[in-house]
Amino acid sequence: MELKSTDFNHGGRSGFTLVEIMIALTVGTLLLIAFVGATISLSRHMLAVSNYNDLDNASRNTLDLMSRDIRNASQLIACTPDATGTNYTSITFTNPSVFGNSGFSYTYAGNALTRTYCYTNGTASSRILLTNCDYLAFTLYQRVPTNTAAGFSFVEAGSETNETKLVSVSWRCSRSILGSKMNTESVQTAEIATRN
Amino acid sequence: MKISLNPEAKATSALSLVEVLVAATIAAIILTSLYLGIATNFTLLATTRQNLRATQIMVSKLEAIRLCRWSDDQLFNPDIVPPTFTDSYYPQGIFGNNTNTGVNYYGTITVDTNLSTFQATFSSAGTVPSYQSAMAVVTVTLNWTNGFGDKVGHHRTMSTLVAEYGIQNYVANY
Repeated sequence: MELKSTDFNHGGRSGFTLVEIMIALTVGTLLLIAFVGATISLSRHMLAVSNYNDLDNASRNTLDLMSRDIRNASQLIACTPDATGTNYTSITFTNPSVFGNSGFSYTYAGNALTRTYCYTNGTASSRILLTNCDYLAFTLYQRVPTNTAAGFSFVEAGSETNETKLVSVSWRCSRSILGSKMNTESVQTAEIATRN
Repeated sequence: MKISLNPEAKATSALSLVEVLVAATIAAIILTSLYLGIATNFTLLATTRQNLRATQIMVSKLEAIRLCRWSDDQLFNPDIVPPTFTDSYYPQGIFGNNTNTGVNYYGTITVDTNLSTFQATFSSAGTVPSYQSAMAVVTVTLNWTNGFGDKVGHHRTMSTLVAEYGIQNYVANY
């Protein structure tokens, strides 16, 4: 048996020097930090975009339903003021020719907006339209136009809520991303006039 | 059994400086393009959101205009339907006491009983409806800048027709 040992003479080839290794490690570390940072940032932004898309879908769907309901209504029959006293967290409309003696209501509580629909046969159905809702306010206006500093507007209903003809609604939804509240708000505002 | 280990069997060599520079350049171009593409998407998203908010503002104005009576003291009164107005991306109060309003929108409202321009744009030539004197074109226009570094101006317009016998014809306590 012939066994030839390894020759450790590298024939002129040499490894990296300490300086080269240090430079390579420094450059590699910087690149890695930049890559990880960029990846985390991009991931957060992608999640924010995805969240915004979800929230915007829910907001548009909610606004479509609300617009259809309020335009079909004839009279506001109940409402619940919020802490400010000028806005409302709940509104209930009716249109006897459509809803009988019942109607529909939109109620904001616990960061969610619930739509309750009452049918003429006395049954009702509830559905949560919005979640993760940080702010929601209804403002009620009469039919009397006015010109305020903000521009074209109407006189607020005040105590005469049964005179409501125009409903202004605005809300803001948001979600937490990777443990922190990120600005993925979906702001929605609308003014809806009753058509009956 | 014969075992032969010859470390000099093959001459190995590292990458040359030119190869490294070319590879680094290609990688830099790819990463920069990727970053710019994603950044452009975010900018586009922000612009889309501003467009959406602009649409909300214009629709609100056109919705509310239907509550005005067809008369000189309401629909055609510039003190009631002002020719100019301002609004902001974040409605007042939606962030509590936070005064950050985001992008500012500068708008105009025109109520025009001359339907010729509108008709030329949206209707076939030569057809003049007999009821045109009882109709008006309400046009809401918004202008804003994007709020980013090099501010880009944006302009949106929305029009609707209102009819004397179509809008609500009550006498409000005005």
